[in-house]
Amino acid sequence: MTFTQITTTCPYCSTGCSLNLMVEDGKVIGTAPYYRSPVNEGRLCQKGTYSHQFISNPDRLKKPLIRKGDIFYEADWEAALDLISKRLSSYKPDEMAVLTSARCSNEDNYIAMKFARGVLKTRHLDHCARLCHSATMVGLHLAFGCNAMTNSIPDISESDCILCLGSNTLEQHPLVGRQIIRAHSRGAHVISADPRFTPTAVQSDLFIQFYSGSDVLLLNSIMGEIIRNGWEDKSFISERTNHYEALKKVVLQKRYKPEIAGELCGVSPDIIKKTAEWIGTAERCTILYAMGITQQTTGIDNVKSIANLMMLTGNIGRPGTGVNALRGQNNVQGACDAGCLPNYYPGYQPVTDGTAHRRLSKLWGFPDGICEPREGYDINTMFEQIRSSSSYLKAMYLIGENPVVSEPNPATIIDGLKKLDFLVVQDIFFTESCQYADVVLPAACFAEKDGTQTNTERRVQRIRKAVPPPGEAKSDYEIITALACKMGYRDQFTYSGVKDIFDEMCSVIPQYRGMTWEKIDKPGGMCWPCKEQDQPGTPILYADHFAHPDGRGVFHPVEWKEPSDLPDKNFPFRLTTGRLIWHWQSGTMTRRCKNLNDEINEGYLEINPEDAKRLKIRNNDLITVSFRKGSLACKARVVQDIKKGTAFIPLHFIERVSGNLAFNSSDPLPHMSEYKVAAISIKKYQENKE
Amino acid sequence: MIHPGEIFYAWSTDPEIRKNGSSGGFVTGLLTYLLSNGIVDAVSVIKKGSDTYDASMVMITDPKEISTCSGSLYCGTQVSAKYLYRYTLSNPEHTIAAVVKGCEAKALIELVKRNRIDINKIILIGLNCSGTISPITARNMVDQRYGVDPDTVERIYFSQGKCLVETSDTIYSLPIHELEQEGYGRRLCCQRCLTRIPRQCDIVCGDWGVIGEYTGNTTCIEVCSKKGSIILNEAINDHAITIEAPDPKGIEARSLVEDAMQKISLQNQDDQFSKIPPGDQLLKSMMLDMSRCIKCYQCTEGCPLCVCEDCRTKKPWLVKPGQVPPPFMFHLIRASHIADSCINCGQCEERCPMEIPNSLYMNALQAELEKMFGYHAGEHSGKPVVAKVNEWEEWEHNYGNTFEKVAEVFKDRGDY
Repeated sequence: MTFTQITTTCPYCSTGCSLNLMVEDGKVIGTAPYYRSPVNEGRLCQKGTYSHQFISNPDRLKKPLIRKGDIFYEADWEAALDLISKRLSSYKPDEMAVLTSARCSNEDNYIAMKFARGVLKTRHLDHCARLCHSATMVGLHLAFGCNAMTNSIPDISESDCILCLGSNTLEQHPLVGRQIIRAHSRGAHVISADPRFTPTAVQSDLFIQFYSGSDVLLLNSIMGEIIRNGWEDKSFISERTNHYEALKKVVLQKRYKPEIAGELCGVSPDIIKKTAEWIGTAERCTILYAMGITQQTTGIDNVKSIANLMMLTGNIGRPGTGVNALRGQNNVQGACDAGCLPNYYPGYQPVTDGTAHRRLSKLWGFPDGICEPREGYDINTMFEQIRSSSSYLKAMYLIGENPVVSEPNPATIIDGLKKLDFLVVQDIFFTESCQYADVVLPAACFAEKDGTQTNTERRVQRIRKAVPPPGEAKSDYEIITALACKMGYRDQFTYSGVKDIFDEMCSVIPQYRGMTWEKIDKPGGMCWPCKEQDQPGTPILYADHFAHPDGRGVFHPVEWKEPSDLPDKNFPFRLTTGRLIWHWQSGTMTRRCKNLNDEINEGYLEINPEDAKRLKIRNNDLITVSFRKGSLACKARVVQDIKKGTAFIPLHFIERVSGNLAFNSSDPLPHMSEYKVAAISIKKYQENKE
Repeated sequence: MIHPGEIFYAWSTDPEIRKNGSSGGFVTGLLTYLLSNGIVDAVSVIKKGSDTYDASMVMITDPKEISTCSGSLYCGTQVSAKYLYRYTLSNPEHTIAAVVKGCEAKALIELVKRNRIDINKIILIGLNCSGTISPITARNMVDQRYGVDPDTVERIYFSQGKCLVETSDTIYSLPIHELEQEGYGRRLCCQRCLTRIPRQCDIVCGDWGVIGEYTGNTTCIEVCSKKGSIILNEAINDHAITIEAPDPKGIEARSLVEDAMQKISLQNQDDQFSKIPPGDQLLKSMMLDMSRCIKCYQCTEGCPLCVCEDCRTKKPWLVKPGQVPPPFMFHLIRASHIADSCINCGQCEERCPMEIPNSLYMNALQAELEKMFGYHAGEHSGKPVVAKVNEWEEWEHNYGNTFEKVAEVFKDRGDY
């Protein structure tokens, strides 16, 4: 039995590291470095190192399951697809919703989107980007005209000043964290702003331990300082931006002076002034940000402020500069690019754009037309709708997503799923969300199919099939194609392979138009936009002009708003949530990897030693955590690293934690939930309570 | 009759292989012979992937495929030892031939000494090696220092102290030491490597020493072991390989090259190790660098010596699980278990996402331990003692109850 190495892209985060899967006898037995990749140069974090361990786990779904009563029975594909086809054909377009997967390939997502809009003709289509970077999509679109990370991962190392704001980069995007380390070893300044003294903060030169939810306050304060000291890039501002005066007026207000803003942020004014100096006087400065910025009700405001700061200092369009929004899932960028959003067609053309609608209809050639050119429901609205008494939504098709664990208020999700008339869930394992399905379909994982995925730096890379899927599981695009054929749309899904899907997708997405399978099949893939066949791709955006029609960036001044759920006498702690390096989101994959699960396998709450002492809580004590709308029990972990008055819970463990989380409010525009600031109270667990 | 220690000029008798193979196709010819005649069941070689910067290890069982892997790939930084170990575990009855650089040869010998690989079931064909360049470093170097489009490069190689970059119509040349002063060039572990001609193999090959009309169509080989001489004899008798006495001037040249490289390596070693503070400052320096560690386990997975089934870094009473950065004990365990056997392959450093100079520390420790205890990592003789004492579960598993022998070996015999 000899072994082969198949080069593919990691299925976890949006860094998009390449790795080799070692295959022996039809099974993936390990991973090996792929040194040739410009993204990670062979290096991997522990999730990537052990990404083979869940692939042949016995829990993998192998056959379609149909529910009768409370029991799921194995069925064959004919029966399952027949049932789904019959049921879905009985609903009107507006009665159905599709949730695609930011973890599936571009081809899977494109086919799912085509199915939703062409076969089901529904407008209600979304995926989990709503939960993480929808604020980025809105904020950066307003500021720059395009909503993606502006620079590339390798050029971060050329920066002279890096601000990590709301990103624990070394833990969440470790191979991006490597670029910070490389810059640092060249002498760059590294600033980390976080309520917790994270591994990223440990490596920083300046640590801003501020209160969760005070980002705009901090950023406006920094901008005010920069302008007062004359460090702004006057030529960049005058030649390449609009609305500077409006911004200047807002950030120079008294309320944003370091002495005053610092008090509210929980940060000393000297630290704010020093940060402003480092950013203002750096040759090349870049900001890396992630969920700490976006997962708040003021997410869009936070993103706008970051864009403001980089435009103010002329840090756009050159290596080592830029607004680097670090996206979450391995293919959330691709899923967005492919138009799996209720308000966009592929390539971010608004669904209300008549020309785009006509063009898509003509290309696809559905004889009975496609969805209406109107915006549909996003994931939050979908569930609100389902639970309302006059619900119009009756059926849902859910792919590679576990909303029961990943949504901010699981109780409402479960309620919603139960109320649905018909639910299909397509996944690789029987997740907590599968429990509520009428049909469960077994899908292939990343190692079992060919395709492409797009990472956070807009780089389109290959995933390659290493082993066959278990049992009768199929690739997501194969399943949906078979279903579309069953529903009578064979002619619109005549693909001979994944390459055909890729070619069609590229013809529809303007940013991908110049890409070919051969070009992205090479090491390092290609960064969009690549609009012509002979273009090499665009690692750094906005070198000469922004994406607005007049080529100028727009300042959007923002006033600081308090978080929606601030502490008070009864709920005196500020809870922030986040992730660990060991696990991925709802833990479906990582909690089945021995080497990861052996390190951490249950949830907990981090609390500062002074707070713990006051509450008479010791390390590992069981505690009750109460929100305004619910409570949960878990162990306490007493750590120095967290700011007094703040607590932290990792989101991966449903049985301990996520099942009872009760984040409620949402940012009006992208419907983002406030994962990062919730008021809680903490008490020692009492047996006789409950 | 051929004996260990003898040096020859050699090439494949097959004219196609001699022409298309590297330096006369000796290695290609020998491997093809061994595999076709069932003397080995598989061979391990490096194969070119997407381009000249992309090298990966392959196990070949079909002799016809061997000639597609001819030629050295100077960006082939991987170490095949652990993959070969895995192969032998899955195929215990197989005999294999492996083409190896010095670091890979040393790693395999260390695994042999730990009773993980059976020396009788592996034939080592060594290659002279002046070092390798990491793929992306190579591309950046070609772009920024040579001013050449990296995608147009067909070959990168070293010759006489220069790094040569060859496109379809031009060969560009720059001195290696200049490149390395600017941060380009070979990996740091390669710069300080003292095993340019790995004589722990059965036969070691290269083009050093090949002069005159033999240049380009001949390999200069040195037979290092009895097994090597037997294999070579058989290959010659079966008309797969031809040998000739080498040009004495060539041998002299080979010696000079080796000595020069050794001298440069010792200087580089000195320069690199002198950057590590001594005494208790060493501890502080290590702790500071390792504070970036995210416990990705790549150093452990990459290290050819980390093969314990019952790894001590996974004992929760030694290293508290789930912590980032992990307790320093994690790194102390790694160091105290393998430092005396570190063969300077550089994988721990090359695979570290946080750019921790693991290999620098480990190799520096190994160099000191070698002076103190006289244990030569990667050579056939001796037993890896310092580390084995710590891995006592593994010791019993590998060596039986021989603890007294271990204790006896702990004799201080160095001047330091």
